[in-house]
Amino acid sequence: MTAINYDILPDILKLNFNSDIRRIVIQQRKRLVVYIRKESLLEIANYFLDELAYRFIIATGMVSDKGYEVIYHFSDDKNGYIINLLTELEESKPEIESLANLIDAANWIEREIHELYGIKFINHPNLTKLISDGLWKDNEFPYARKKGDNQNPAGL
Amino acid sequence: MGLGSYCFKKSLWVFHFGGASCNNCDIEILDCLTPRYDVERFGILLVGTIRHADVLLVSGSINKKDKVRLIELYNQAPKPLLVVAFGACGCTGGIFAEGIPFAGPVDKIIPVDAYIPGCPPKPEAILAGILKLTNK
Amino acid sequence: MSTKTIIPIGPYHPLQEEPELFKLYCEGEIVKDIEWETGYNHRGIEKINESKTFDQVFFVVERVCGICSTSHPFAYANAMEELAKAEIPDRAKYIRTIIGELERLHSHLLWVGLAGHFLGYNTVFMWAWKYREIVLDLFERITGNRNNYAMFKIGGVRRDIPNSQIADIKSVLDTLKPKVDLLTGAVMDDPVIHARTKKVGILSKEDIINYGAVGPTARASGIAIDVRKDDPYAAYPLVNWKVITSEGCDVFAKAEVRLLELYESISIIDQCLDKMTHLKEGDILNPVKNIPEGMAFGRAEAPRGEVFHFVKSDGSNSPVRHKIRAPSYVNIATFKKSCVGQTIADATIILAAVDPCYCCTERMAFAYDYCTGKKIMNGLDLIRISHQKTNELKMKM
Repeated sequence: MTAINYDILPDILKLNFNSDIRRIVIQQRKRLVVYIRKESLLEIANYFLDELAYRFIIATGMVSDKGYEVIYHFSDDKNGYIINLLTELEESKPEIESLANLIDAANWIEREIHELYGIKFINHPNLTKLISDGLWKDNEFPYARKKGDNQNPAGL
Repeated sequence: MGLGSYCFKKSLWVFHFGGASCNNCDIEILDCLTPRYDVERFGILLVGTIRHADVLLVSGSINKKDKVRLIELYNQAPKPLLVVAFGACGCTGGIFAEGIPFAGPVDKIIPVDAYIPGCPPKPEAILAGILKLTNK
Repeated sequence: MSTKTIIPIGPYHPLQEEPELFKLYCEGEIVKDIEWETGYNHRGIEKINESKTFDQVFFVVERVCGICSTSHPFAYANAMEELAKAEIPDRAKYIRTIIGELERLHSHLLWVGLAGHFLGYNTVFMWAWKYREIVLDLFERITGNRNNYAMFKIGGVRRDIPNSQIADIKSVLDTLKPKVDLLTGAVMDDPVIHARTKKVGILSKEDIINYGAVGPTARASGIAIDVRKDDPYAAYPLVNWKVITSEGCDVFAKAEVRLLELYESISIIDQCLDKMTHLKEGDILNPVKNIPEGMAFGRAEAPRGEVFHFVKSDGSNSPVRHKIRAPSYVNIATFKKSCVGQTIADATIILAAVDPCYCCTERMAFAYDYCTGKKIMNGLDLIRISHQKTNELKMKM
C-alpha cells in the first residue's frame, strides 16, 4: 500500500494513467474530482481500492448537459479526503462497466442508478430493481433525460 | 346505542400500518407503550393482524405500492373499523406529497375517522386522539 | 431431504402482515440465502430537493430518517459550508456537536431496547426507552421538539442554548450516567446474552471492507473508521474523546461498541457545554448570501455510521442534484455475509445488530421454503423463535 502525499497525488495519477485522466480539479480542501475516460474506470478504481486502500462510499448518477455523468465517491479514511471519479456518458448510449465484480459495495447503487436513469452497467451480476419495485413500469426511467433536453429536467 | 358505539365503548385494539415514512411516527407510537405513557393501562393494544383490530392507524406517506396494500387491508378488516390518519404524512402527505411515487393522502384512499397531526405527533397528542375516538 | 423454510423477519411490533424486506431462504434450521425486496419506502426525496432552496432542503433531509434526523442536516451543512467557504462561529460548532451527540445517545438507547426485545428481554426494552425519555426531554428543552429539531442553517444554527440553562442541562445529563451503567451492566454481564450474541453474526475485516460498511458495524470488527476523527467537523477536534472499537466482530461486539459510545457521547456533551459558557451568547450564525457554482461533498457520523451528501450547485438558489447516502445502505448489504449459515433463531438479532435504520427494520422478511418457494413463517414467528431460544438457554444455565 502506497503512502499518500496529496500534494503530488495528481502527478502520480497522471503518470500512471496518462491520457485516461482528463483533468483533476481540487474542489475544496480535502476534496478532489478526477475526470476520467469511462473506459479506464475499472483500472483506476482498482488502483484506488487496492494500491491506495480507499473505501468506496457510493456512486451518483446524474443528468448533464450532453448526457449523463456517473460520479464514484471514494474515501481516504486515514487522511480525511474524498476523491471522486467522474465519468461522462452519452445520451444515446448510456452504459459503463460495472464495479460490482470488483467490490460488493457497488452492487446495490448500480441497480438503483439503473432503475432511476436507465444507465446500463455492463456485466453487473444482477441489474434488477432495488428500491422501486411496483412503483413504475419496468422500462420506465423517471429521472432519465427527456428527449431534446440540454439541461436538467426541471424539478417538480 | 348503535352497534358501532357499543363496540368501541371499552378498550381499543389497534393495528398499525406504516407507509413510506421516516419512521419517527412509528417510534412515537412505540413510545406510547413505554413506562412514561403506558397506553396499555387504557386497554389499548397493538395487534398483529387487522382481523383483530378496532382501529387502523395509518402513518407515513402512501406510495403506489403501499396504496395497494392499504386498500387490501381495509377490505380485509372486520367492520366497524375506525381509521386514524397519523402524522403530517398520514393526514396530507407532508413534504413527501411532492415526490414522484406519492399516491395518497390517506383520506383519498380510504375513509378516515380521525386525524392526529404533528411531525411526529407527541405521545400526549396520540393519547388525546385515541381518547377522542373512544368518546366519539 | 429437509424442507426449506422461509422465515420472515418481522418488525418489532406487529405492523404489517405482508411488507417483505428480507426473504430468508432456510433449510431446516439454517439460513441458506437472503434476498432483499422493497419498494415500500421510496419517497423520491432527492428529486424533491431539486425544487427547494438551499435552506429549505434542511427540513426535507431531516425527515429522511427519524432516528438519524440530525446527521443528515449535519452532513448537508458541512457540504454547503465547504462550498461557500463559510466559517461558522465557535458557539454554533458546540451547539451542533451537542445536538449530534444527544442524537447518538437517544439512538443507541433505542437500539439497546430493540435488541433486548428481540432477545426476549422486554424489561431491557422498557428501561432503555424510559431512560431515552430523559434525552428526548433535553431535546424538547433545547430545540422545541422531541424529534426533527430544525436546528441547522447554512452558516450556523437557528437557536441558541442560553448560558443560564447550561448548569441545569449538565445536571440532567448526570442523572443519565447511572442509568447507562445499569443498562451496560445488565447487557454485558448476562451469561445468556453472551451465549446468544457471542460468535453470532460474524463479519470479518475483509467483509467490512468489501461491503464498505461503516459505523459501529465496522468498529465492532476492529476497523477504526469514524468521520468525527478522520475528517473532523464542528467541535469534535476541540474536545477530548476516543473512537471505540472492538475485535469481536460478532453481535456482542456491536452491542459493546454502542454501549461504550454512550459514555463518550455524554463526555463530549459535557465538555461542549463547559466551553460554551465562556462564549458570547447569541453569536450563532454567520449568514451566507450566495452558494457559488460547484460540487460539494459533505459527511457526518450518524449513530449508524457515515452519512454522505453530494450537492451540485449551478449558482442559483436550488441544488441541481443532491445525492444522499445513509449508512444503512451499505450496512444492510452485509446481511448476505452475516446471516447465511446462521440459525433462524439468531436471524432477528443479527439483523438488528447492524442497527438498520428503523425505516428499513420496519418491513422485514418472511421465510420461504427453499425448495417449494412457499411462505412458511412470518415476522412474529421469527421473534417468537428467538425468544424460545433465550428461554431454553436460561433453563440450561
